[in-house]
Amino acid sequence: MKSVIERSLKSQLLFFLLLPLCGVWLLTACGAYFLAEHFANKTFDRELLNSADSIIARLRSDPVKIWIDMPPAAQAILRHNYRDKIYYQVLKPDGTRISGDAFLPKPVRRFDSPVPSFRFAKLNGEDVRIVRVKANLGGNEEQVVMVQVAQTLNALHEMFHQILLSIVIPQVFMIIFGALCVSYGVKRGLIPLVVLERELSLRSQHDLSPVRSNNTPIEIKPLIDALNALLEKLRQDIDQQQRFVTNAAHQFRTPLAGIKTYIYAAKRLPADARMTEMLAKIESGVDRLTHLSNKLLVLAKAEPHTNDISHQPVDLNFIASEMTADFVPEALPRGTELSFIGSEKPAMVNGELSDLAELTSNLIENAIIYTQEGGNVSVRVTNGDAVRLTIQDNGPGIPESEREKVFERFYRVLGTSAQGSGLGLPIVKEIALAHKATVEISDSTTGKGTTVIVTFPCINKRNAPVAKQKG
Amino acid sequence: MRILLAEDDTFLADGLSMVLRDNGYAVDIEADGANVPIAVCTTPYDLLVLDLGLPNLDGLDVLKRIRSKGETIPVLILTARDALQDRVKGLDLGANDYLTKPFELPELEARIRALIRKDTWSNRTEITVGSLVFNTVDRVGTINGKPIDLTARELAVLEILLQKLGTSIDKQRITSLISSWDEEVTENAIGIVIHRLRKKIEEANLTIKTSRGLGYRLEVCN
Repeated sequence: MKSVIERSLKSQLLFFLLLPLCGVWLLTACGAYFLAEHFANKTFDRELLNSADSIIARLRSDPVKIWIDMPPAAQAILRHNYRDKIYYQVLKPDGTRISGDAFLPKPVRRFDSPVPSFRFAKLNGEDVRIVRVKANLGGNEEQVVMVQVAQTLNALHEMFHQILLSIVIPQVFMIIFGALCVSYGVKRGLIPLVVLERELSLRSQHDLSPVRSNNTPIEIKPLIDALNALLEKLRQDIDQQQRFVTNAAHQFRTPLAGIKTYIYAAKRLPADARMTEMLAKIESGVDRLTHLSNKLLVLAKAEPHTNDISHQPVDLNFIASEMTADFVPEALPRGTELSFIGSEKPAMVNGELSDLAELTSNLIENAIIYTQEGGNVSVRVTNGDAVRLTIQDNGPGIPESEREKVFERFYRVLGTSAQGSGLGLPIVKEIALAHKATVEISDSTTGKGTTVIVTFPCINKRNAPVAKQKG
Repeated sequence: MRILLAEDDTFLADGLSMVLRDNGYAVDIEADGANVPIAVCTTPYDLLVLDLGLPNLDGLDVLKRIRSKGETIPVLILTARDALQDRVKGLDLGANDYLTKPFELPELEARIRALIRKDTWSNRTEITVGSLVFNTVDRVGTINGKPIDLTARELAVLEILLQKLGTSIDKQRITSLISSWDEEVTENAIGIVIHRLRKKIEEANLTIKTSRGLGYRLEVCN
C-alpha cells in the first residue's frame, strides 16, 4: 500500500489532502455532537417549561383547596404531540397528588427549590425528560404546588440528529468534492507527461532528435532537458561508434589490397599444385575479409539516427529486376534457378535507391548462398494494399526459433556451412527500419525453404516529392 | 612506360610495384604527398597512380596542384573511400579513373593499360608499321602473325619508338622514360637494347635509324 502511494503522484496528493481533512472532519464532528446535544436540550427544555407554565396557568385555588381547571379539550391540546407522550402531575408539597398522571417519578431532592429543575428519568420503560416547577398560587404556604411535566425524548433526539447532520453532511460532501478536484487537477496536470510518453513511445529507435519542450510545465521542463541531454550524448556516442566502424573498415582496405596484390604476384610464379591450392585458400579468405569489411561499412551507413534521409519515390520493380540480373552470374554455376516477377503497376516506395538496392541484393545473395545447388530462388514485387518485396527459396529454411536471431549481427544459424558475413540480414533490417518497412520471415508457400517479405508503407502520392532525375 | 605510384603504405606499394614491373613498366614509389607534384613535373611519367590518403599533402590536393601546373598526365586514383561524393570529387578535380581498395589486380592492370592506351596510343589497340603489328592491349608485337620475343626493356623501347613514329627521340629521353629511381639505365645500355631490337624487327622490314644529335627513329626500309 505504501509503495503504491509512493509511486503514484495522484495517490500521494490524495493521501496528504484527505488524511488531514478527515482528521479535521472527525474533530468538528465531535464538536458538532456536543453542540447539537446542547442546543437540542435547551430548546426541548424550553418547550417542556412552556407546557409546565400552561398547566400552572390552569390551576385555580381558594383557601381550602386547589384544583385544575382543564377541560378535556384543553387537556387534549396539552397532550397533543406527534411523536411524544406527555405526562403531568400537580402535587402538594407533601407529595399528595392534586391532578394529573399517577405514575410520574417523585421529585427526589430539593423539592422546594424555586428554580425549575430538569432531569432525565425512566417512565414505563421509556426515557423521559422531566421538568419540575414550584408555583405559589396564593400568598401563603398552603397554596404552594409542584408541577411536573414529563415528555418522551423522540422530538429531542430528532432535533439532535437534525442539527448534527446539518453540520456533518456538508463537510462530508466538501471532502468528497475536494478529493474529486484534486483527482481531476492531478490528471490534468499530468497531461504533458502523457503527451511526452506518447511521443516517446511512437519514436523510432533511430530518432535521437531532441524532444520538443514548448508548452510543457516548468516542473517537467528539467526532465525533458535532462532527457534531451541524454539523447544528445547517445547520438554523439553512436556517431563516434559509427565513425569508428567506418574508419576501421577503411583501415582494413589498404592491407587487404596489399595481400591481394601479393597473392596475384605469387600466382604468377611457377608453383606446384599444393602451393596453388594454398594460394587459392588464402585468396578466398581475403575475399571473405573484404566482403565483411564492405558489409560493415554498409551497416554503419545504414544506421540512420536522424530522419534527414533524402527519400525519393522509386519503383521497386526497377531495383529488384536489376539486382536479380546482377546475381545471375552467381546463380548459374550453382545451377540455381533465379527468377523475377514484377508487379503490373509501378510499385513506388519512398526511399534511397542505393540503400534499397543493398537491401534487395542482400536478400537475393542470402537466398542463393543458403539454397542447395540446383535450387530455386524467386524474387517478386507485388503492389496490392501495400508494396511488397518477396524473396522465396526452396533451401533448408530457417527454424521458427531462429527467425528473430538471424537479424542479430554475426549470428549464424546452427548447422549452416555456407559462408556468409553474418551481416546481411542485420543490414536488411536497418535499411528496412530507415524506410519504415517491415521484414518478416516465414516458411515457403511450397512447404520447404524460406520466404522473406519486406512490406513498405503506402506512399502518399499527393505529398510525394517529384522524383529528381539523377545522372 | 614509366609509372609514378604515390602510395604511403609500403606493404601495398611494394607489392604493386612488383606486379607492375613484371608487366614491363618502370615504377617509382613516392610516399610523401608533397613530393608528388615535383616528381610529376620533373620526370616524364606516363601515369600517376595516386592514393588519396597521403601524408603532408592530401591526394586531392596533389591532384589540384598537378593540374594547376598544366600537367596532362593520366591519373588513376586508388582509395579506401568509396562514397559517391568522394569519387565525384576526385574525377572532377581531374583524375581519369578511380579504383576502390581492395581492388582486383586484373582490373587495375586493365585500367592502367586503358589509361596509357588513351594517352599514348589515342585509344588505338593496334599499330601497324611495315609488317609489324603491335597490340597495345596485350603489348605484344607480331610479324606476319608470329609474336616477337622481346625482353621487358626491349618492349619498352619499342613502345617509345612506336609512339614517336615519324619523329626522332634522343637517347637521354629514352633513358628517362625507361629508368626508375631504383634502376637507372645507362645510355650505353640503351645502345645495346636498340641494337638487339633492330635485329628482331628486321624481318618486318623495319629499321631504327640513328641520326647524330637527334637520336633514334623507327622507319620502314625502302
